[in-house]
Amino acid sequence: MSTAHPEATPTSPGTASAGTASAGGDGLDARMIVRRGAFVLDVEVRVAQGEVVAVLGRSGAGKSTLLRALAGLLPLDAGRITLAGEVLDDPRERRFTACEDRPVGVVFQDYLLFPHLRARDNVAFGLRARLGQGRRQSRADAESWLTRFGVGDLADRRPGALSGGQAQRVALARALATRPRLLLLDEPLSALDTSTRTEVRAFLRTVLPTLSAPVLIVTHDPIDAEVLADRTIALVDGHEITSPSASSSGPALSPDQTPVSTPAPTPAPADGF
Amino acid sequence: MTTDASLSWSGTSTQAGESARPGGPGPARRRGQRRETRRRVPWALWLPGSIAVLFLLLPLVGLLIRAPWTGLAHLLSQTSVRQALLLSLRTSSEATVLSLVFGVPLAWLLARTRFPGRTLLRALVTLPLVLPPVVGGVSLLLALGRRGLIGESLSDWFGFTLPFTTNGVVVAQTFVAMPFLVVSVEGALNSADRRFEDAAATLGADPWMTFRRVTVPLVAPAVAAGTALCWARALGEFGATITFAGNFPGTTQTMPLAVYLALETDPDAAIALSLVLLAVCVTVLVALRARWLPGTRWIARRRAGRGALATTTADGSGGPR
Repeated sequence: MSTAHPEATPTSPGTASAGTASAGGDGLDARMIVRRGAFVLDVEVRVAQGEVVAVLGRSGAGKSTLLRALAGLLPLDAGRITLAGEVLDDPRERRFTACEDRPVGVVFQDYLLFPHLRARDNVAFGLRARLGQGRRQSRADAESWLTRFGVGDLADRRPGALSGGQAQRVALARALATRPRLLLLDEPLSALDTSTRTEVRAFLRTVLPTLSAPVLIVTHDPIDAEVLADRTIALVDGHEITSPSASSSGPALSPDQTPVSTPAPTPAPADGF
Repeated sequence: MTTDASLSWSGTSTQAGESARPGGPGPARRRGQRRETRRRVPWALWLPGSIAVLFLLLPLVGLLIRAPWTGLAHLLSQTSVRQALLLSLRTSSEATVLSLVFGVPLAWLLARTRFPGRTLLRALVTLPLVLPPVVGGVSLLLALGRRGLIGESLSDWFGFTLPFTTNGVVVAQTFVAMPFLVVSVEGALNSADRRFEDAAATLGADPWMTFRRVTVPLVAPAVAAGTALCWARALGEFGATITFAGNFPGTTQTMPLAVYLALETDPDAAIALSLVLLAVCVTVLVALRARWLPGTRWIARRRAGRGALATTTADGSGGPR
């Protein structure tokens, strides 16, 4: 993981168009339309290399649908997902890259560390599956990844014996070890208690900007979005309502605890990830 | 998660299972639960419950009391007994392996895929759970017998016959026992958290690797429980075996058949053989303590019912063979 990428220097939120311009090359460029019953997700997301973007919205806004579509767990109904110049999903061209073949790393909300595997083997799992490494090599690499995130001494523990903050680090190591071209974080802080939250938020704040891959954070907490991301997309009922560069920048991003209190309490069943 | 849920489930069901089972869980667990159930128990419940306990335990007590303990060693050292025991252990183990190889994938298909007629298929493949084993044996004869549906071709083309051979015993036992494994594993797969499989996919694991390294380990307790039930069922299989494979000492005479036959000629030997089967089953039950058998209680109970039915129907069918 090198910090050297030119775009790794945090771009100020005001110049979000810079990210848009470069996204076609290395980053993520996605126009996603997913229909699930009455709910429609219709959103455009661009994340440049080295950029951290947050998708902010209440539960039911379509965050999880968006995340699943990007990860390849849910096919698009229309639109197109391009990552690092490669088309991952385009229903019109009948192109769909399966989840296991996408260079996309996911840190799930409650981490989903495999309970029957030690921390080391959780990380090694991806190294074997995606990079085709052998047993010994993958374990050694896994340990160095754990060490990099400060949990090297916990390699022998099973997920049940890890605290929330530790599990978060292991999950991040597991996702990044597969060398993804896009990192997705699903509610990275919601499973933590208040004190750990601050600590993990600070940890992510230092780690995320150093990644060369684009990072997309899905969250319901405006503070997390504000602290962790360069830019925020506010999602309401499957649609983006404002962006910081757009004209009416105010309410969606105001970091008061009540997130996006705009319209339409339409029932949106799609959020159970 | 899944394990927690099933643990607590089996925890609460222990009281019910305990009474029906000889050599049930230890006194520590019992004491812990008595504290909760100290409320007054209506006599309309405890009276029939106690009668049920007596009814279930009395035959076992009778077996233990009437057992020819002094001559036991001599009876069990007979060649025929050893033959039957070894044959039983061998065939039921083979049937269990077959059930694992074919039953676990079947359980996965039933739990994880959607296709038209899936519900009906599930009902059909679990039919042997409730089907009288003798009927199973007759059906097997009609399908795989020398003049059966595909048995004829097997015999003509490959010179391969199943009925009245040791392989036939294995087939009959698999037919009857595999559904226990399928039901047990499918239940666990249905209640397992499928998001772990999503996580595996995002890490680059294809469906086969996900199945081997994530899905199966997560339902391992249920696979173990199902395997034990399946093996025990195969070991006790009588009706389908005697109908489809016959009763030839050394090749198809398993322990239950030997017990039944010995009862007419040498009752003491029958008792001795029954004791051996009882010992084997108790050993398995103790080895798999209650927490190893989550979600399989109802099967165990049904199995007890089925066993009784099997022997009664077998009484009528011993002759016509």
